[in-house]
Amino acid sequence: MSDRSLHAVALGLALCACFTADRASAYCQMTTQGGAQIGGAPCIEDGAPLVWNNPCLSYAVDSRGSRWFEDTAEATALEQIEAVVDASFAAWPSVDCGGDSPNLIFQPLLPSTCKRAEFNTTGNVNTIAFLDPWKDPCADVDDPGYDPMALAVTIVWHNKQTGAILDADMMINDQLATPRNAGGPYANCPDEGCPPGNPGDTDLASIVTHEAGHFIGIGHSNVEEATMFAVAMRTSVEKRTLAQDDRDAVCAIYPPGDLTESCNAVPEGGLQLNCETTDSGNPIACDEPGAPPSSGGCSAGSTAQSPGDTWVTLLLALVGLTALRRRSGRRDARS
Amino acid sequence: MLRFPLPPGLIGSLLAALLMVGLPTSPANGSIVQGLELQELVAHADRIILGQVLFSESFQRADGQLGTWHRIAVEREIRGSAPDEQEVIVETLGGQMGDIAMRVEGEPSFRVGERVLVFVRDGGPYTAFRPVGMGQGVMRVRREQGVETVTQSREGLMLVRRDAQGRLERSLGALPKKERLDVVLSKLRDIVERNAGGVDE
Repeated sequence: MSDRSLHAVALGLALCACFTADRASAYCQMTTQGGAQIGGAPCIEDGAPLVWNNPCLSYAVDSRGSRWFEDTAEATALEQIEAVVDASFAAWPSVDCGGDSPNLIFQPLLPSTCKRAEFNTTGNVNTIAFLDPWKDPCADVDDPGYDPMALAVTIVWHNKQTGAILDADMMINDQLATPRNAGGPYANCPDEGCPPGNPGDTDLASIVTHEAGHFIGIGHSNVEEATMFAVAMRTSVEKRTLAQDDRDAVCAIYPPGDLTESCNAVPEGGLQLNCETTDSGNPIACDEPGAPPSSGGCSAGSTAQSPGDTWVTLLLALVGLTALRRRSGRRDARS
Repeated sequence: MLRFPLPPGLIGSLLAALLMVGLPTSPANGSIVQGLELQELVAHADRIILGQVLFSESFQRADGQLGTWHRIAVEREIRGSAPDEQEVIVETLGGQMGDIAMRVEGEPSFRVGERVLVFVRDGGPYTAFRPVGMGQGVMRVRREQGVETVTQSREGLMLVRRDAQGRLERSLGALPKKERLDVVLSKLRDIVERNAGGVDE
């Protein structure tokens, strides 16, 4: 091999190394084998990547909202929260992937009545709920609940073989922050940052935008400016805005496709906005809902529908359109 | 022996390639969690145990979620009330049953056979112990070149804390970098003795 050839090989190696290092140092996709990443380890790439096979997704904010938002003359507390959540989720599908959008659509629904992070065969909702006390309402009385130091957790149900995401629920710690536990108050902070206080407000949009990344299967990044950055949150509001690395992630995982706004966003198993009471108002016992599908009982993440799903789809479309119209109408009225 | 002398320019290129491959990366993030300094980690822990993971098994919790129990053989107890106990059960959220799995970013994972230093809080009468601060409460023990080291597990965690003005800011956590096991144990003993007036070993 001539010197020139050797140089060419070396240059190629350097370029490959540069690409590899850049890839390893940026975003990661969650995987079925996602586990410990110790010290300087790069992304874990064992197992199947977690992804929504049908990236036409719906979500609903729990109707009881958060204790930290109050009604104003312009909007109810719940409307304010929905506006923050909608904007936070919308950041992801509105990314420009080289002139086109990622193949990802979010359809916000009317409020849910669901503070349970569960996945059932009988119907589901990707719920966003504020919890005080900071534990699942169905947990045992003596169960200590979610970690007291956590501000928010996103629980992702998936098929462990294929990595297809089946359901995702975002739980936000609605307690007052103290030295013994994390929590609020939360606010829709101004662009220049949340005002100081003790404890000061936490920007809800920053939290929801970050958690929405996990909702769609994006793991960590070590790009400091990224919404999905590993350990930093230097200012309160910067995570609202996606960085190039976040945009790269969503474009790579959900490259431009042919989804349209009229797509089918019915959750796996059908839509069930209320997971706590039946249509007749009777409480649904915690052990009553359908258990998670057993082995082989579920075509993970598929868009296959049960016979009744056609009606659910129509209902969902109506609910989604109504919710969107209502929310956009509110914003138009305010602007 | 065959040798292939490399031209100086080529050596530089290869070195650059190796350096770029070896660029450090950060651990994973996920749930947004308040970062705990070592003293805070100790203060929140009902028990601190050095042990070995024997077995892990998923189950369905009362709330319908999946959890995993990890049996840990107690090798040494730095804080706790049952020094003669041989094993403890640590519960983490998330697990797998059949084809279905549930994942909570930020919850620690354990590998059977590995040695860990765990900071756990009491899970109440019907539940097992829980790691403090999600993944922050688990430190992995490794033997490297004859020296035992510990590294804090921060998988799936975004660590934050409030500054003097109450705003969220970066937190480095209890163990920003790998440390010798004996050094960390010594620090822990000091903290426990200072705060509680005794060490269980």
